[in-house]
Amino acid sequence: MSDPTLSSESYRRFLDGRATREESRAVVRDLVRRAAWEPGRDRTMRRRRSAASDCESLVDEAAEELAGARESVAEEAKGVWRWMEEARARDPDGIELPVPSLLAVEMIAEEAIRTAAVDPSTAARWARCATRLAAGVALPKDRADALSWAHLAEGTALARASRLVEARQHFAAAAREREEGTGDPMLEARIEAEAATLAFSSTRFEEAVRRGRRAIRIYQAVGERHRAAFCGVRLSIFLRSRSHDLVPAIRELERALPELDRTRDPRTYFGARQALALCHLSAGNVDAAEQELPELRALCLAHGSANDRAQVDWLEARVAARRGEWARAEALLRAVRQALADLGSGTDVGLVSLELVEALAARGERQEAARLAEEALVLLGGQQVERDTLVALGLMLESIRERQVASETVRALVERVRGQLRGPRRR
Amino acid sequence: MQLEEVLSRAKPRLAAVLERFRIPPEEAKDLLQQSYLAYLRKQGGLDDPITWLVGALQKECLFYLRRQRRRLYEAVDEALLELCAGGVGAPQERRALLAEVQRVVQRLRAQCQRILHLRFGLGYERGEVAEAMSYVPESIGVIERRCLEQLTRELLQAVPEEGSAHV
Repeated sequence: MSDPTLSSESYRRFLDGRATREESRAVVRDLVRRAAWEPGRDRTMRRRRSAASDCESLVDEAAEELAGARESVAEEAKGVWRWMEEARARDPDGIELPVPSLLAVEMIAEEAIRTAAVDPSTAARWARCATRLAAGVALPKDRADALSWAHLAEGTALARASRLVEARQHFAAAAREREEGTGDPMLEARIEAEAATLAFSSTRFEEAVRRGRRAIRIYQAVGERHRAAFCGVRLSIFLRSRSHDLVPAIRELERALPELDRTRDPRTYFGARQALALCHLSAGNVDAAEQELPELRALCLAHGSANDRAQVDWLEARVAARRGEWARAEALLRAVRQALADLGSGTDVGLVSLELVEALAARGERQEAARLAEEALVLLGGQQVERDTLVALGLMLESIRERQVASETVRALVERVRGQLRGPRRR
Repeated sequence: MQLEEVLSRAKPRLAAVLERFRIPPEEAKDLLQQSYLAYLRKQGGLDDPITWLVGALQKECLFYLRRQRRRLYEAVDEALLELCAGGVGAPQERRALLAEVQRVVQRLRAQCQRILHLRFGLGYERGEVAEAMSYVPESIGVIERRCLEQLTRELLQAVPEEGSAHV
């Protein structure tokens, strides 16, 4: 069944990342053929799924990740044990036994934290598994580290599910356990970073900034430049919300950007550049915001989604609006509004509609502006916009109909709605 | 404690870490150097430099394995996209491949079955997959990568014995 030209050397080159493009294609083709017709495989998978409990199957998945592809934690532990026994036979005093299950807990906790942003309930299941496993770690200091990771995972999952008080308790427990552990600086930085985000979500901005800065310091001290920069990007959001003074946030983003590893994490790099452009725009630095556009377009082409492209077009429209180029702003905003509507992003459609109101009002097209303002009011009415802002929007609508509204009033309202929708309570 | 002394005392534990993560010798040197550099930067305020150094190497090994895994998923993704797009081989070969991919994909979770069918079977872009599955565009990248991880793991089960020693 397999390709006769494929040698074990081809497989090795593919697995080591040294295969040519053609060789990769041939290996993958051969793997698909083998995997598709492997006897008894379907039955085995079904049995494994139905027999395993929820937690066991999750642990099994983590174990597969941990061992790179296909060995369980237990098998790996046995391998380590054998190796340690051999090493001990060679040199009885020169060896200390490692505890592989600490790594398993760490991997599962990492998985929970990574999943939490998109799927809090799965993250909570991972976190519970980490907690269950952590209690079984043998060495006290490793056990404390494992428990700390498990609390961190539970806290993060709870925070993303908006259960902020319980999340805070778990982060406090994570910090306490870490004190009893091996003193792993990466763990401490991770706790501080997640606790900072939680503090931000709870609108405790001072604490968010303090803990965010501490996480950055620790990462910098251990040479983790990308992680430090990642925390810097988050810190810029905290700073912006703390004082509405954009200068510290811009400074933080400018410091973080050169340190971000754009190959490893292109999404964060794009997000940071976009945030910098938006900060410049809100601070009135229209030229600086405009200078970011070519780079953002290039990043979009390489890694961006349809939503990213719409966001960059939106930014360009806002730059045009700030320059008073209302016809161009209107054309761009209409295109962005359509793109966001196609993506099903109701809140953003509402915000773009409001900005279109500003452009249309500036061009004297009151009737169309009133129609869009009405539509925006409906779209934003179901969102987390404060009641007085909605009342102000309603008054604005009346003013447009009465031909009395000033473009500055519309812009101030748009900024206010944007602030309320993008603030911590939305997270 | 001097660096030479720390290294000499940490050596067995560092070797154990490299063995545990099955790091190839040609990569081990780089990872050790990264850990030493981190240690040299940190040296001042450490109560237990040996444990710290071992922990730093564990992290380097974890990052290395993750990079390796990600590279493998990306290679599988790229090869399958090219093969399934029909640019390579005869149409009947493409149909056979799609049927076999489908057979493997059916063993994955229902969510991944749908996503990979859209990606390889219908040639959807990421944004289109998000739209078809009603996901927010920001989350589709993560979900898609997890499905590719599952698919790659499934494919690697089929690596012939003589090629699997390095997996």
